[in-house]
Amino acid sequence: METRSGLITDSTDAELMLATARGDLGAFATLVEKYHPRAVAYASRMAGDPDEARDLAQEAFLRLLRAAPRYEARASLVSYLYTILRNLLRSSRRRREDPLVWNPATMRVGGAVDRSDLDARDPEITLGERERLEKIEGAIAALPDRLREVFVLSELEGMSYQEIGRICRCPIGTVASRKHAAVARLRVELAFLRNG
Amino acid sequence: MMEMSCEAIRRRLVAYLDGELDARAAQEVDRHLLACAPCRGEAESLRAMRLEWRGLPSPVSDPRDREAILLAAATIKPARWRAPVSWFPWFRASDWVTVGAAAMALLLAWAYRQGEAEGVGDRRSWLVWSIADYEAREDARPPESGGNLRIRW
Repeated sequence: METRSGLITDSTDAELMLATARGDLGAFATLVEKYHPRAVAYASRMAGDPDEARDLAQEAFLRLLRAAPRYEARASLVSYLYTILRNLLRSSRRRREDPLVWNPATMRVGGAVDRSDLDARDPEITLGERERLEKIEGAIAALPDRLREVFVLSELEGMSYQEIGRICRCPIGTVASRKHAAVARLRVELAFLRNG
Repeated sequence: MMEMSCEAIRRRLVAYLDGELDARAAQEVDRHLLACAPCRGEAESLRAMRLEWRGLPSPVSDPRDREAILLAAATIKPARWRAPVSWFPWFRASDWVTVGAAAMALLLAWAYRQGEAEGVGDRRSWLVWSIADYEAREDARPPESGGNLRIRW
């Protein structure tokens, strides 16, 4: 079904990619609408810079578009998109030696565009609550890249270990051990939340 | 069956809460948690902790960024698009190579049988036989008709 905005609402991702491969930009727009927020949030948490995250997400979608004629629906489209995004992130990180450090002045909770965006989404949010969310994002940002990517994909993107293994090109056992290590570190970093 | 130690259970707790353990390992953790209060407390603590980060706001994205992507997408040349109709979309290139090879093998087998059926006693292929037959017919043909050569299979 096509909506008034030209978006197709009841097709599977594979059907949308097939239509995209035939040159149907409406189908591609539907995919962008559906996955852009998640792609930006993931890139934001991995790159640490919202501007860079938006650029990387844009490049990932354009690569997805160019790859559409070769796309074979063997894995979920979101895994495919995240694999492209991860490769872009790795190339970008190789050029930057500095470790990722959470900076509330430039990084946003939940991949928000800016601070007012977070307030607009939740007008009831208090200063204390915002600080708490920023501390959680800060603790996630402080994880080493390998642990952070597994943690973000699993906990915040809701992906299975199998999908994560496919994206990160590692066995499921490695995903499980990285997830365990990430959670162990976060428990230490976020112990203050339980202690008040 | 040997019971897993508390340490082994705790190493599996994250995967257990994620629903990623196989049925047997998950049952083992279930049994252990029923019997072991400290590990049960650990599991509860993990559950509570994950609520903290799962409470992070859902991501949103700027509509202007999505528009920029679509504008850039419109500049990609249509020549790169795939042909609109594929009669056998489930066939990959490698499948077509296999089908082509099988068809060629069948054709050769048929040609060989044809050759045998038409009285060629030796094991030469039908192709060799056909060429020999053609040359024999050409030799038998009167010289005035030799200018109009045609291959007949």
